[in-house]
Amino acid sequence: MPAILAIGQTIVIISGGIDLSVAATAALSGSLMGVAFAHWGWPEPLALLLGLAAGFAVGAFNGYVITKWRVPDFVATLGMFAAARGMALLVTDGLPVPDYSQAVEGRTIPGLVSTLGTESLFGIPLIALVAAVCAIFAWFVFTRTRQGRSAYAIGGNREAARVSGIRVERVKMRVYILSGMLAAVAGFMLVGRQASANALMGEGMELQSIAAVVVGGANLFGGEGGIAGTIIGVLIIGVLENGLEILGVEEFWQRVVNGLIIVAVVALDQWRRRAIVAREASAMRTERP
Amino acid sequence: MTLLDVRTVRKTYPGAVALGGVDFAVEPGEVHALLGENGAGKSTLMKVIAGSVTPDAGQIDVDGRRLPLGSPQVAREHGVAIVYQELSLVPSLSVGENVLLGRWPLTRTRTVGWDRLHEEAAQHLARVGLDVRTRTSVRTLRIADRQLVEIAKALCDHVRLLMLDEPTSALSEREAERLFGIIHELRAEGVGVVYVSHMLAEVLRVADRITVLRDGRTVDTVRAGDVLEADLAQMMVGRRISAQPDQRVAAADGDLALRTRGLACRPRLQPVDLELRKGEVVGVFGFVGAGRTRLARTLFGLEPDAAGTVEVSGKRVRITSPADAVAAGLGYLGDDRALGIVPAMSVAENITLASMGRLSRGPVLDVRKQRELASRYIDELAIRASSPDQPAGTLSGGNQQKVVLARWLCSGVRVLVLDDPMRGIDVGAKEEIMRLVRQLAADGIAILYLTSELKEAKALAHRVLVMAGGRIVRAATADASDDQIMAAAGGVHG
Repeated sequence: MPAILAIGQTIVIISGGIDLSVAATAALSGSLMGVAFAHWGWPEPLALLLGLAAGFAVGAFNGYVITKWRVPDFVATLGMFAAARGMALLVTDGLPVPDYSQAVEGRTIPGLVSTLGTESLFGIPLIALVAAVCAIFAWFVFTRTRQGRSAYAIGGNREAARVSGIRVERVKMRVYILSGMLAAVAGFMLVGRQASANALMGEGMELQSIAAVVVGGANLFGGEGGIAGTIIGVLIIGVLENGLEILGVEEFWQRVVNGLIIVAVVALDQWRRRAIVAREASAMRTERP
Repeated sequence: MTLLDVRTVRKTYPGAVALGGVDFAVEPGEVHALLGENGAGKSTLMKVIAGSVTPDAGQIDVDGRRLPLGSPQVAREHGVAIVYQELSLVPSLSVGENVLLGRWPLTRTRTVGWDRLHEEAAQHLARVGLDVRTRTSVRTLRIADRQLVEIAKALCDHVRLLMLDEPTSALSEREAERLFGIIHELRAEGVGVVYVSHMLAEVLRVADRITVLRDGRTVDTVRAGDVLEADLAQMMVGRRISAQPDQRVAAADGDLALRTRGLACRPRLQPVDLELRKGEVVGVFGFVGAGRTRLARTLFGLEPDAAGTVEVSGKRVRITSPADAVAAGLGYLGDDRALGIVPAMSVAENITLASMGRLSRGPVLDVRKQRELASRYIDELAIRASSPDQPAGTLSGGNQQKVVLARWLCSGVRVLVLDDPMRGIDVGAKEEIMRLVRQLAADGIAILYLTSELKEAKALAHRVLVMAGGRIVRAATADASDDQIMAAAGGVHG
C-alpha cells in the first residue's frame, strides 16, 4: 500500500504540490467500502464504487480548495488529513468493520478485496501486482499524455506553463483527484490484507509516501522526479524497515528512525541540489552563447 | 595606492574554465567597467572579489592588504560591497529596516532603537539621493528605488569598493541617469566602483576605464575616452560586428491581425485601442511604470479585471486566461526569462509546450512527432543545444529566449507580444533575436514589441506608440525624433 500511495504522491509532488491526506483518504475509502458492504448489505461492486467515489471526492475537494480558494497545498491537505480521518471514524463508529453486532448475516469484506489482499500468483502477492499496474498506469500518464506533461511543466515553472496556455487549475484538480483515487485503491488493499476495515489504518503512511518520493529522487518542490524513482524509494524504505525489525529494534524506535529519515533525506537532497545548481550555474557561465 | 588589485585569478569548474588567470585593478575614485558576453567570466570575477566564490588560485589585495580568498565576511570588513542584479531586500520590512538589515541599533534594554534606526537610514538614503520615508514598506517602492535602497544598504558598511551587477537592466533611461549621478558622487568621495553591464553606450558614459573579458581572460583594459562602441563590441565578441543597416521590412499593408477596443485594466491601464496588421511590428515604448507590461499581460489574459474587446484576424475573441489567448493565436514572451522556460524539461518539450494539443491523439502525446518538430525549430532558429533532450535550463539566456520564440512559432501564432525580450542578454544574442523578430514579421506574424529602450523600438518597429501613466500618449512613425518621443514618454503632451 505504501507503494500505491507513493505513486499518487509522486504525481502531486512533481506538479509542485503535496498531499498529506493520502493515508486518511485510504482509511476513509476502505472504511466506507467495508461498512457499505458488511453493514449496509450493498452489493460488492457498488461498495467498491462508493469507496472510489470517496477518494475522488476528497481529491476533488483538495483540488478545489487549492485552485479556487487559493489555500496552499500543504494547508489544504493537512486539513483533509484530519477531516478524512474523522469521517472514517464517524462512518465506522470507531470500531473495526465488520462489527458483528451490525453486520448483515454472513457479510465480512468483499471477496475481490480479500483475494487481492491475501493471495499470490506464481509466488507474487497480488497486492504487488496491483501496485505494479498502478505504477505502469501512472508512468504512462506521466510520460506520455498531455495532462501528465502539463503537470510536470506546472511543477517546473508554473508561470511558464500558464502563459503557454496550459490550464493550470484544471490540471492541478485532476492531479489531486488521481491521488485521491489511488489512495482509495490503497485503502482497499489495506482492508484486504487485514481482512477488516478500521478508521485508523494506514496511519503515518502519508509520511512514508513522501519519504519514498524524495528518496526516489524527486524534487520536493516540484518539476523533477519520476515513478520509477519512487518505486525504488519504496523498496529502499521497505528494506530499511524490515532490517530494523530483523535487528530487533523496538517499534517505537522504528517510528523515530522513520521520522528522522525523512528529514535526513530531504536535507541530503537539498545539499545535493545546491551542488548541482552551482555546477550548472558554472556550466552556464562558461557556455558560449 | 591601488584600491583593488586582483592578480592571476583562476577558477575552473568541472569541464569549464570560468577565469583563466585574470588581472584586474581599481583605483580609488575610479569607475571601472567590466564588459563581456554572457559566460565571459564577469560574474565569477565579481563573486571572487566579494568572497562568495573561492578561486583555485590568485591573490586579491584591497588597500595593499592581502585578503583571504573565499571569505565574504572579511571582504565586507574591508569595505567591499556588491549589489546583485536580483535585489536582496525584504519586501515586507520598511526601507529603514532594510537599509540597516543585520545591524539594527539597540536601546539599553536590547529592543530595537527605532528612532536611531530611521535617523541613520535617512542619512544613508540621502547619500544616494532617494527621497522616500524610511518607514515606507519596500514592497511599495518601484524597482529603481529599491535598487537605490540596496546601494544605500551597501554604503553603510563604509564601503571602499562598490560592485554593481547590471544595475540599469531594470531601469528606464531617466532612472538610469539618476543612478549615474549617484555613481559620480561616490566616485568624487573616493569610492571605487566596479560596473558590470552589457550596454556599451552606458559603459562609455559612466566608466573611467573598461576591462573586457572574453572566455575567462582579459582581452584588454582601456580608457573610456580612447574607444568607440564598435571597438568594445569587437573586443567582446572577438569578431567585427557590422554596423547595422536598416533591415526593417517594408511597411506592412496586410490584413488586420489584431484589433482592440477599450482594452483596459483600471486603474493602471486606461482604455487602449490597438490595430496591428499582418507582418507589422508595432513598438510600444515607455519607462518603467508606464503600463507597458500591464498592457501585455492584459492582452494575454493574465490580468483578472480586464475590460474591452479583442479581435484576432477579424474574429472577436474572449480572452480571460492565457489558455484562451493561446487558443486565439496569441503568443507572449516576457522580460523575465524564468517566466518563459521550464528549466528541468527538455528543449524539445519546451518548444512544444504550447502545441501539445496538436501533437496528441486523444490524451496521448506523440513523442516522436514532438521530437521531430522540435528538431526542426532548433535548426531553423539555430538554437545551440547539444540535443533536443538537453534540459532547457542549461542553455544560455539568449538561447532560452529563442526556445520560447520557437514555442510560439510551433504553436502557429498570429500575434506575438514581446515584452522587453532583450533585457539582460548579450550583444551577439541580441542581434540574432532582432534578426528573428524581423524574420517573423516577414512571415506575416503581427508583433507588438514593448520596450523601455527607444533604440530597440526604433530599430525594429514600423510604428512606435508611446506610453505614459497607463495610457498611449502618442503614436509616432519610426523616424520621429528621439527627443520628441522621450518628451512624450516623460509626460509632456503636445
